[in-house]
Amino acid sequence: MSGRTIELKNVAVRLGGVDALLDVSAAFDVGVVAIIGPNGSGKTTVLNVLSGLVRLSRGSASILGKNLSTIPAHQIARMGIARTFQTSRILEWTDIRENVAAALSRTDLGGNGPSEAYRLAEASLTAVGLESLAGVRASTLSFGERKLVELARVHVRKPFIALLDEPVSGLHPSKFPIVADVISQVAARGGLVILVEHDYEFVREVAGQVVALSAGRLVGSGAPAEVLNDRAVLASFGGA
Amino acid sequence: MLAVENLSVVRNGRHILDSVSLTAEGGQILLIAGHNGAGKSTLLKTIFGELSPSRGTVRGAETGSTFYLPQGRTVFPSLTVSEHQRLYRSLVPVSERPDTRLPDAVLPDLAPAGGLSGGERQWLAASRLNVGRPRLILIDELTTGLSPAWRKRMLENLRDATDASGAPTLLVEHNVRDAVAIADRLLILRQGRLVLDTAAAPLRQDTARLEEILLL
Amino acid sequence: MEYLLHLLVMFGIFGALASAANIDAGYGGVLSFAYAAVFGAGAYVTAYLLGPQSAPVWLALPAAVAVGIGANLIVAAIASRLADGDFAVATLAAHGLFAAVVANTDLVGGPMGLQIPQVQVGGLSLSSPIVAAAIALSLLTLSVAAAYKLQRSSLGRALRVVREDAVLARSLGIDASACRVAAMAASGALVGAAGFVFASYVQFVHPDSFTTREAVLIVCMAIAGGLGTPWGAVAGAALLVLLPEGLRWVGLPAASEGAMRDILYGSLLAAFVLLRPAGLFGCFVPAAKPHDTTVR
Repeated sequence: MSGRTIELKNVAVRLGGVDALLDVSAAFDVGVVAIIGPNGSGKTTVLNVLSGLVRLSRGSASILGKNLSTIPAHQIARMGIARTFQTSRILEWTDIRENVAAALSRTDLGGNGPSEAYRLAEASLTAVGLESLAGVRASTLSFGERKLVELARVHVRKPFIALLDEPVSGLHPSKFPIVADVISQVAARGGLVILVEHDYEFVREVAGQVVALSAGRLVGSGAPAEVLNDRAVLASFGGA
Repeated sequence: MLAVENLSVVRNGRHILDSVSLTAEGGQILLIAGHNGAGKSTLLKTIFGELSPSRGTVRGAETGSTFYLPQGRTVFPSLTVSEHQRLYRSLVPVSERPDTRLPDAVLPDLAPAGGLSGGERQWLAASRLNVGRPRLILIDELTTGLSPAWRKRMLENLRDATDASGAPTLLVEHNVRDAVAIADRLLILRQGRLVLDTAAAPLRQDTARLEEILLL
Repeated sequence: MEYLLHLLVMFGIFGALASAANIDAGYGGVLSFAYAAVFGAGAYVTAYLLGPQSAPVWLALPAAVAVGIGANLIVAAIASRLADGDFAVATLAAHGLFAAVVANTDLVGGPMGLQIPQVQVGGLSLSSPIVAAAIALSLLTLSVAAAYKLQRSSLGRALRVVREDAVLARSLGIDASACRVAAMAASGALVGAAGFVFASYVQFVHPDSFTTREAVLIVCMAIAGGLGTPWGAVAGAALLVLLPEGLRWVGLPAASEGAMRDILYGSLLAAFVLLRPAGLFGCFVPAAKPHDTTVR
């Protein structure tokens, strides 16, 4: 296997009797990649494969040369991969400081205790504009605020690879720059960000590369201006 | 007609809603926008009756005749798409079922809903709207997670449903640019207060003014 | 006086058992009803070693602890394969299985059970009420301390995430399975030790001593006292072991005592569910989210 940051070769995933992905091959190194496509085209499945939550039916997926099919999800996370979910996964019964601190492992803290974790969590909450809600119980948060909590978790982990599922959906446009900032920080450190998004304006703003999926297949790949204006690609989206 | 007067919701000393008043005529779509945490979802939940207000009144939202679509893609994971549609139809008395068709089948009928993508589940949950003839429609985030093409179809579908039922509609949406095309009025909530209530039609062309408003 | 000491022994033993249930359910999020079987396994191994094998105590106690760990890990392995509801129901069957096994094993006395002689350690008899009470209460103290330590450890923090959202836990780098196994090994050790204390005190083990009824009682104690806190188990054991005995002082006839006790337990449980679902001291323990099985 080559040392590309992420490499997918002829990946097929069959879920619940449906071909979620069919013969997808792509490779990414650094920067920001956006995955676009109609609903149900397999975008989230790509993220699930890369974070180890879904297994391949065929083909291979590797991160830094390591074959993902042999690595359990929690170990993939420990390799420095952070992800967010379409519907944010929040611990409802604790405050958001705790929610963000939970993302830090002992190695992240380098031997320091929970108070260091809370300090770092608060810094990340400030970076996403939620510092005033640090002690608030998470169950009271709105949909958009939860998205920002997950974003704070990505910020606090300083990951090498960030997998973001619809990071701006449900967010007020005034918050988009915050998301763009966190994304560019990962890329600036030499990392890779893969985001799934429907908001093409945001994609144009942050992405260096766009990959288009339709019905589980790759139908386009290239610079944002190219792909987003490609008639063939948009036609394959089929009004969906 | 919906009439909301001086509605306030206070929790732990915080005003989540602060003296909100609005009226909506039958067949009108009110687009409600605002920052995250501004109180939009709370407004809908209070009108629907899921939350009790600390002060104020709501008239025109009777239980049983209000259609409420909460945020999130709540469907039953083990039921198929067609089973969902049958379930939705069964929730409405026969006499109230409209003659309108459900939107074109875009979802595979026999797929269990748990295996659908987020956007497909959103579409399925929202399709419940077409099954009855509610007297009030409350929708919390219709187009979250939908592709541009589906967003337009969903919004058009909502316009059709509002026209067909003659009900007033309150639509909470972040995607204001697309939603303003079908709305009659635009309302902005900020920190629990209603800070703007204006006609939507002029804003469809005047994008500069719309951008200004969104910064409120 | 001797009766009071006997009560304290039972309080200590059941308190330790409830503490183990709290570790599994309150911290690990695993609701198991298999405790009487695991307890019975520890007790039977103790009886077998101390009785027919005349083994010394310093062999029997670790053996009971080891068997407790092993038995609870088997339960953990089953938990990882079944959905929560199915798993809880499956563990109810554990006792029938256990009873069937020991009743058919002549080595441990078969259907008649096993009677063992008094065991002495350093001149003190383990079946003397005072000694047993001291040992049982020490075990209870140990189990509360263990729960307290666990709650504040990094394993405890990881378990809180696992309990509420295993998918989130994995995406944050937490090995959900390993955490659960660690918790259940700790609680298994406590249960095994409790089995040792019981067998050496009562000097008799029988297939019918460790039934579903006892297991449900143990879980009730953990719930009534409050899942997720170290003191909950103590409170629950106090409530369900000491309180029924208090009824005697109210002068209820002995004949109806068994039925009265069941009524009391039932009413207490109903009262808790209605009035205070979190238990006396508990913090509300969230159930795993319904959307947990899908990865969206």
